[in-house]
Amino acid sequence: MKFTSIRRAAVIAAAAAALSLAACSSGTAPAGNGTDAAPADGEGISIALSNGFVNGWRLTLINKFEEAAEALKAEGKVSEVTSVNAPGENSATEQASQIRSLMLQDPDVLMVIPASSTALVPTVEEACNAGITVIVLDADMDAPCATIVRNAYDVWGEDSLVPALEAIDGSGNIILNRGVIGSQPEEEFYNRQKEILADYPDVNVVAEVNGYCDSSTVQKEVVGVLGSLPEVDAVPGCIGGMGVVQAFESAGRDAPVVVFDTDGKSLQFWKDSGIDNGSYAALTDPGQVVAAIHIALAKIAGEEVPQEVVLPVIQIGEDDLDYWLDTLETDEFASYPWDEESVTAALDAINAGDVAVAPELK
Amino acid sequence: MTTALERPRGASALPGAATRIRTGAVQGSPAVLSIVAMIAIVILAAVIQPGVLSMNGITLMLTAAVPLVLATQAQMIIMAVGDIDLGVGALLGLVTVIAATVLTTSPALGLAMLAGIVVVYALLGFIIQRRGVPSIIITLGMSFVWLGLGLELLPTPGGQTPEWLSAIGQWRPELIPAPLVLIAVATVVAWLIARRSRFGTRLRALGSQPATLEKLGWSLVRTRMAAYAVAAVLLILAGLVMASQTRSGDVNSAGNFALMTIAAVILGGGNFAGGRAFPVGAAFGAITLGLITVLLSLVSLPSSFQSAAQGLIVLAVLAGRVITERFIRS
Repeated sequence: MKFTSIRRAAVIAAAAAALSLAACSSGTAPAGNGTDAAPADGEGISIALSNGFVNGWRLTLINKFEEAAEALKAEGKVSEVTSVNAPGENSATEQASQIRSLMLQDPDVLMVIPASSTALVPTVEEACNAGITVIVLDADMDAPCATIVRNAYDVWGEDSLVPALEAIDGSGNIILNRGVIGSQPEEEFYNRQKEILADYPDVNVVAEVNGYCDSSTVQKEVVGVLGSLPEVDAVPGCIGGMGVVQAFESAGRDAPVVVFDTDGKSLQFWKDSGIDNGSYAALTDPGQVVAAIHIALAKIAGEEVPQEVVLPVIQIGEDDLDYWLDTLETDEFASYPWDEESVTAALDAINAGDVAVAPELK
Repeated sequence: MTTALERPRGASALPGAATRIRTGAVQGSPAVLSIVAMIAIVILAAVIQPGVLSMNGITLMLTAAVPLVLATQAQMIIMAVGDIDLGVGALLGLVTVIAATVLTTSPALGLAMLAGIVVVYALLGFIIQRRGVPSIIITLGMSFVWLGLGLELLPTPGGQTPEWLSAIGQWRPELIPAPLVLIAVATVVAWLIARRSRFGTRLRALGSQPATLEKLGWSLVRTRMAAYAVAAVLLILAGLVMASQTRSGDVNSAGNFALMTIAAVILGGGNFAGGRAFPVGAAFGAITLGLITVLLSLVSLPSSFQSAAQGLIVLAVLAGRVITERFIRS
C-alpha cells in the first residue's frame, strides 16, 4: 500500500500548493499594479520593442534601435531596453501575447512593429489604457491612442517610379515591378504609381510582374516574361534591381534602368556592374525606429507630437553611392542618421503642416 | 489493479463521496504534474516580476490561454474516444474569419455556417467509425479545407467582429480577472460533460472498451458522432473567444494549436490510446503551455532562441509526465 500513500501525499501537496498560490495572488494583488508607470524625474525611461517578424530590413531596424537605445542609456535618458521578435511567422496572435508579456514588465514606452494593422488594435489599446506610451512603427494603424511613425507608402511609390521615368526621358517601354500584393502599403504604393503613369502618355507598361519586393523573386518573374517582350528601357517598382539586371544579362540584353535595394550587397553589385544609366536605390528607412525613440521621449516630456509622423523615404543616387558603400555592412540597409535635433525639426515641420525633412548625411 | 481492489467496497450502489474523491484523485494523479509545472512557472514569473500576481498581471498572462484552454477541452474529448484532431488550428482560424466577416454582415448566415461546422464534425465522426479511416488523416485533410474556406472568405487578415463579441473581449470585471472566469467556466462545462454525464462515460468507454459499449446496446457510431459534435461546439467557442480578443479575423491565427492542444492534453493526464478524459488536468496543461511564453519573455531570453526553449520545456514536462506515470503504476 506504499504507492497509495504516495499518491495521497502528492494530491495533498498539490492542493496545498494551489491554495498557497491562491492566497499569494490575492495577498499581493494591490501591489505593483502599474503604480510606477510614470517615469520618475531624473531617471531614464524604459523602452520595449515588439517586432512581428524578421527579415534583413527589420534586422537593420532592430540593430539601429539597440544602438540608439544603448547610446541614450549612456546619457541616462533611457534606463532599460527590451526588444523581442514574436515567434512564429508574422502571427498577430503570437505577437499579441508577446506584447502582453512586455506589458507585465511595465515599460514607459512600448514600440510595436505590428504583424497585422487590425488584429493588434485591441492589444495596443490595452497598452495605452495601462498608461504606456505606445508607438506603432512601419504600419498604418487605426489606434488613435498610439503615435504612428512610418514612411509614406505613396511617396515611396513615387520615389520608386519617377526618377526611372526621368532617366528614360519620359518615353519607352517599362516593366512595372509590384510589391507584396494584397498588403495595404502596396495598394497605396501602386495607386500612386498608376496616377503618375497617367501623366506620362509616352511610357508604355509592357508587363507587370509580382516581385514581392524580393530580388530573387523579381528575377524569376522577369525571366519568365522577358522572352516575349520588345526592348525594355526601365523596370521601376518595389526594389529588386539586382535580380532584374541579372535576368536581363542572362537573356543577353542590356541592363534597363532599375531600382536597387538599399543594402550593402545590392549597392556593391551596382558599383561593380558599373551601371550608369540613371538607375538608383529607393526603400523605406529602417532608421525610423531611432526617430521613434526621440518622438517617444518628446511625447513623455510633454511636447506636442502629432498622432501620425510620416518620415521621408531613403533614395540613393549615383552621387551618394560611395558614401553609402563606406557606411554600410553587406547585410545592412541604408538608414537616415536621425537624432534629437533632426527629429525636433521634423516634428515642428509636421506640426506646421509641412513635410518632414530627412537629416543631413554626414 | 488498485481500482479493482477498491471498487468492491462500494459496489452495492453508487460510490460514496469519499470513494469518489479517492478514485478521482488516484485516476487523476497524472494531471498533478501539470498543476505542479504551472505553479512552478507562476512562482518563477512572480519572482522576476511581482506585478504578475496583480489583477492586471493575471489578466495579461492568461488572456492568450483562454482560447487554448477551450480548444484543449475539445481535443481532450476527441482524444478520449481514441482519436486525434489535427485540424484544430485551421478550424479556429476559420471561425475567427467567419466571426469577422459573415457574422457581422449577416448574423443569421454566420450562425448557420457555425452550425454547419458542427454538422461536418459529426459527419467526420460517422466516417471515422463506419469506414475505419484514421482520424489523423481525415482531420489533417479537413484542416486544408478549413484553411481554404477561410482564405476564400478573407484572403488577408482583417475584418471586424460584431460588437457583442468585441464586448466579450473587452470585459474586465472589477473583482476577478476575466480570463480566469472564462477558463473556469470552460473547464467546469467540460468536466460536467466528460466526467459527470452518462455521455461522458460512454465517451471514455468508446476509447477504451468499444466492444463492451456495443454489447451494452449503445451505438458506437452515434457516440462518436456526438463526441465530434461536442468537440466542434467547444472549438467554435474557442475561435469566437480568439476573435473577440483581436476583434478581427485571420485564418492563420491559431496555426500551432493542433500540436499545442495535443501536448496540453497529454500534459494534463490524457493519453493517445483513448479512454481518459481529465478536463481539469487539460485546462492546467493548456495554461502551463500558455504561461511558458510569458515566462520566457520575462527572463528576456533572446527571442531567436525562444521557440527552441519553449519546445525544450514542453519536452521536459512531457518526459516528467511519463516518469510520474511509471512511478505511480509500479
